[in-house]
Amino acid sequence: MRCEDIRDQLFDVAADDLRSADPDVIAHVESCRDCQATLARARRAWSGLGVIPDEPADSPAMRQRFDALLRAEARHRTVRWPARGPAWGSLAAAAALVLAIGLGVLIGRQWPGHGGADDMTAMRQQLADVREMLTESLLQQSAASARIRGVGAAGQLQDPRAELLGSIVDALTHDPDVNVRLAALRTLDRFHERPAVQQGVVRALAREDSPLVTIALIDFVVDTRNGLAIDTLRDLARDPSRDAEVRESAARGADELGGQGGV
Amino acid sequence: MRRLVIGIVVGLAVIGPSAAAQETERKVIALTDPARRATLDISLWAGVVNIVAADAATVVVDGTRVEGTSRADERGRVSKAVPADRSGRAAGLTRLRPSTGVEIDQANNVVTIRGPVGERIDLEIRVPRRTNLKLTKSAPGSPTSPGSVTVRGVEGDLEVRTNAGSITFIDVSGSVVAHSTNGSVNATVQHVTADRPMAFTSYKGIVDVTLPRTLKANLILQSTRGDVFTDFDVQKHSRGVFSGEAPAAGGARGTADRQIVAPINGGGPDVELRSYAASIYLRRGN
Repeated sequence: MRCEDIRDQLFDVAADDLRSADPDVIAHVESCRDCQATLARARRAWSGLGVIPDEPADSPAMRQRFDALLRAEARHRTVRWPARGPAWGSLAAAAALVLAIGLGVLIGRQWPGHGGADDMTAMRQQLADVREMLTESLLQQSAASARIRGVGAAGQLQDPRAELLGSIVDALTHDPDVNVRLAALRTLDRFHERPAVQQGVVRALAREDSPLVTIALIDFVVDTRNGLAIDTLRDLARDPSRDAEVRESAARGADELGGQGGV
Repeated sequence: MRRLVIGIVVGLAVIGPSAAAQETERKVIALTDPARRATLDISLWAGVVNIVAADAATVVVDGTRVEGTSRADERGRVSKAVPADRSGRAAGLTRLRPSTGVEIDQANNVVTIRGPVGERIDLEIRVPRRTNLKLTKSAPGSPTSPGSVTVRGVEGDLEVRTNAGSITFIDVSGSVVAHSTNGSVNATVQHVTADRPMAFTSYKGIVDVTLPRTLKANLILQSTRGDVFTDFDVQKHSRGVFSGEAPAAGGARGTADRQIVAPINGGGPDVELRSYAASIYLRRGN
């Protein structure tokens, strides 16, 4: 038996006990210094894994994501659309939008008198609902350009519900694509006065690893005078693993917000 | 002079055993339904990637594991650069090399390519012209984790993210979402899918993009440390205001001195070009 024959098994051996391993593996390890050294390293790595603390769950974001999915699913069931495919959600939502607009115009023409205002209010609400549904559907797409479109669509809404804004904050915090996160930040600019957005942006700032997005977040919290971010900015400024420009921007931001007595 | 020659010889002797050696493997992947659009999903640690569109119904992948560049090799823990056998014992035998360690699968027209963590894998890939692309390279930028990405002639949703190395799109069509942390982002886009936003961003590199001259879009242009250049007819009347919005009460805030937002050809989906440390160049194509 050669070293390369058992290399793949050594980590399994390290995770278990050498005595329970294949006798041929035991015999080889006992006679081979290289494999003994490799096994020792694997055991150190394995025991090191055991002391790494679990990353705390991002509970508010998980809650928002779960609520958004639940709400989207409930709406799909209500209107009895077919299961969502890559393009169906967008097409169906667009069709619903056109239908809703057409109905609105028709109602407005036929019943211009009393009752029309209520109908129009209801119609506007339905339109807003359709737009929110479209946005949530786009946010679930696998293509990054579709998700950018989704967060952009949310920015067009006058008064989006808290759950939808939660989905945008969630995209800012968790989306794997840098450009989706930047687009989410642009959308949240319109709603920066909402407490959930202020808190969510600070959470995103603490987790962000892209220097481009981190500096955009720093600019955002400074521009919006978000005092909740001061401690996070100070932590960033002291973190030696961060890019030098990020640390400098964070230090300047912390000074600026600290001096202003942010929100 | 004699000392110099000895120095060079000793230097080569030291460098020689660790010089990068290469093993290349080819795989031809048939699609489940060649009539439908393919999707190429690549996740690598590091490596040079060239993707070229071809009038073919298969995906052809040439993977090369570049030895002497892995993290283990860098630390000297594993010597993969095995010197040639000089003992004469190998006469008449074929030298077998380890595989590249690249995993390639195809299911329902989605070709998935996964490279081993910590290894540099160079890829030369030929794809059908109508192919969506999702490529991620996760190695942090360092001299030993190079790897430009070049995509030529492909039509589809094209997404590339990399920490190290430049990204170049040549004569592509569809939509592009690209980000390089340390490298430049260059693109020539011939045709753009209607209503699809696009984004070309870099932290340290320049962003140089050529778009169709008739493109309807809302441009979002930002360079913090550099300048913004374009030959599009950009009216900066909406500077500092995000697309699709009326100016906020009290006017634009701090974004005004950092970001240019402007519609071209009547406006359309957002197209973002952004670099923190370098300039951005937006050019009118055909």
